[in-house]
Amino acid sequence: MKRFLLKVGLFSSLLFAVLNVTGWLLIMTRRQGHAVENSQIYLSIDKARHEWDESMVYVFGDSVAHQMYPPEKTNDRINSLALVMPSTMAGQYLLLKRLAAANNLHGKKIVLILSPEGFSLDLSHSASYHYVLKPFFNEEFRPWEDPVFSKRVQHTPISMVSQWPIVKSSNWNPPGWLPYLSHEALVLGHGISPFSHHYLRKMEALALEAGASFSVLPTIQPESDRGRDYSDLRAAIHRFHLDDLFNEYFDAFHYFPNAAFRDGAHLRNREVLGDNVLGL
Amino acid sequence: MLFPSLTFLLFFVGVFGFYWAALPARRSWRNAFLLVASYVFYAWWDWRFLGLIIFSSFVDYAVGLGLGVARGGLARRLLFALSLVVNLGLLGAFKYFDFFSRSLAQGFSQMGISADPLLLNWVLPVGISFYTFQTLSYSIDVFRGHMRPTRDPIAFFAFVAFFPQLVAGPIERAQNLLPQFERERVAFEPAAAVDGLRMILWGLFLKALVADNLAHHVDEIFAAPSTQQGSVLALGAVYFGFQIYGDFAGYSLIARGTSRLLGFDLMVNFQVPYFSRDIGEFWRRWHISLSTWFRDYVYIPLGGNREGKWLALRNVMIVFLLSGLWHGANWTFIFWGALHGLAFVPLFFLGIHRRTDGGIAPGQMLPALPDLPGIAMTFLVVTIGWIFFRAQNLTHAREYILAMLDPSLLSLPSSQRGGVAWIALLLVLDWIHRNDDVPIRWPRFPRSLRWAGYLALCALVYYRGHFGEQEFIYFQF
Repeated sequence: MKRFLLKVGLFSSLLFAVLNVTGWLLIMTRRQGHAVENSQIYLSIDKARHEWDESMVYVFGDSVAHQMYPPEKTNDRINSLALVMPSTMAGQYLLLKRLAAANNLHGKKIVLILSPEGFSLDLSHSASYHYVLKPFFNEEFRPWEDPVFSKRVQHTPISMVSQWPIVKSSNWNPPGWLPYLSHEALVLGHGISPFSHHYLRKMEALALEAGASFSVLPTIQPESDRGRDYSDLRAAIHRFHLDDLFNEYFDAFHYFPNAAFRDGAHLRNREVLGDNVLGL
Repeated sequence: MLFPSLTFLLFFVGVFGFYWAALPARRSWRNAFLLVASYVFYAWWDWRFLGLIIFSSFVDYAVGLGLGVARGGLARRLLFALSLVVNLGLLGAFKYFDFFSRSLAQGFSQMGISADPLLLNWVLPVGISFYTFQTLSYSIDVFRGHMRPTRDPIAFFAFVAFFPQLVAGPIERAQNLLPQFERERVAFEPAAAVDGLRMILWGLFLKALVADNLAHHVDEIFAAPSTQQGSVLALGAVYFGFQIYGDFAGYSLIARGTSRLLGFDLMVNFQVPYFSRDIGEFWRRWHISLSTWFRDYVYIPLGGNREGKWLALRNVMIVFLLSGLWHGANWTFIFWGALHGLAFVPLFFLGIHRRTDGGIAPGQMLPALPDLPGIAMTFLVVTIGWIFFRAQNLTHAREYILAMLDPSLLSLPSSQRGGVAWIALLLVLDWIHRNDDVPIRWPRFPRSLRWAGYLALCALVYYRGHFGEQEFIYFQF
């Protein structure tokens, strides 16, 4: 048994080293996209680091917004930096901060395109580890972290290892039974979490400060959702006095046949959307 | 608690450490501990159904004891009937009742008689098809006098609930696994444990890397066949064949590997089935624990091939249809079973269904040329069968096949090509260990090269695999 355990220990140590070196190489060569799920978020983060002279409209949003305005297809006017829904409003805010640090946003238009469900998230979503902590909880974004973010991260076990190459370059997420998920039980609904409200306000303030406009628009919806009143979301908008920010949101719903969706949210074929479905 | 997850890793490391290091090296202690661990493992899925396993175990344990003391033939038959009724009754109620009720109502409605189906709408307990067949094998073997009933309830309950193979097999025979619970397992065997680790690594490769990477393509292709190119649909059927192979063979290997680490030896469940040269060989290499179960407990009791060719043919078709039905309460599975049965019948009639017994190209680098047409033809038949297996219903399968048989079948797939590399890698590695009981042992390589290979496989699985998200397909059966 002792000999077996020694061999397993030696192999595990070698494996740990190999995985870390591989993970580090993936990060250094910007090839994380070969390893992690929804690696497009790293493309958006990379784009936020660059200066864009021609862009007039910057799109932020979730994975449906990513289908509507793919970051890979930048045209001169519209520049998409869409993330995914579990990146939460904190991820969207930190990304906007990064963009603002590299660009003069005066006179530009910042548009956040999000599904009605997306406003209810906070960092207690299990996938937030992968989509917020790994890409944003690091030195690059440290200057823009605020106490709300730090407090939520403190509730996330093993948050400190999120930047280890072996973790950061993989799809690994902490298991769902860890306690942080129950600190603020998440019910995916149509409301707005206090966490989202906090960062929506910060995005709005940042845009105003930079001389840009900021608006919130919806993602495309399946035909079967026509007629839904989204009362939870409407009530939260009133409660948080966000009416101005959302004044175009409910009028901008675009519906597509149910059969066009592969999972009720994402389209099977994005080509049916054209280049500018919301007319930005 | 999925095998490729941190939760299972922590669970198993705890079980392994406590089992070998902390428990008294006595059978009773170890069996009791494994029983508790197995119930915890199952309760992690859904504690409400734990009672079913305990009930099923209790009935068969009691039936076994009864069969041990009953003298009269009638009493023995009654006891055996009790085991059959309870186990098949559980399976029937949870898995098949709604299907038959719905099919009956549809049949009546086609005759112009309107009838509302009586539906139970019960949730299917995970693994019920596996553990009921396992406990049944015990009752049948004791009834036939092929084994003596056990008097050790803990050993028996642990045999039924043994966590590595509880929810997706292999469906172990009482004659193989129960005696392992009844003997002392004092000494830890390092060589067997290392083989166990090899099986786990290869199982993870099959499941987390191959099956789960293909799952994404398969889901997209099968979701809307009418919008896909014919060649993409053909690729989708091939992908599903390798997805289900990676998924199920991967689970079986991880089950065998974890069992080896605990001192148990489970049966081989898959033996490189896609190198089979005919459909008979395919079924000797695919889900071996199920096909041999049906052979021993259905085909042979029905008369096997002892009563002439036509009755044997009937028996073969019954086995294939039941095998299809075992996989799920849907006409697609029955059709899938029938298709395999029909592909097997010509071989059976010509008496050549066992000509391919033995290893595949032993000692050769490449397959023998005369074997290639057989391998290709078998793969084609099996792949067509997978379309029915994966389809939601027969209409969906028909739509898929018609869309596939389009002139675009002959063009190169314009999308969804990302899974081909994984399949190629799997086939190459499968070919290397095609005749080995333990995969990736690589005995001809020096240790340094073997370790380098294992490290590379681990890195590949870790960085390109999927963990803790995609359930095993066979859990639903």
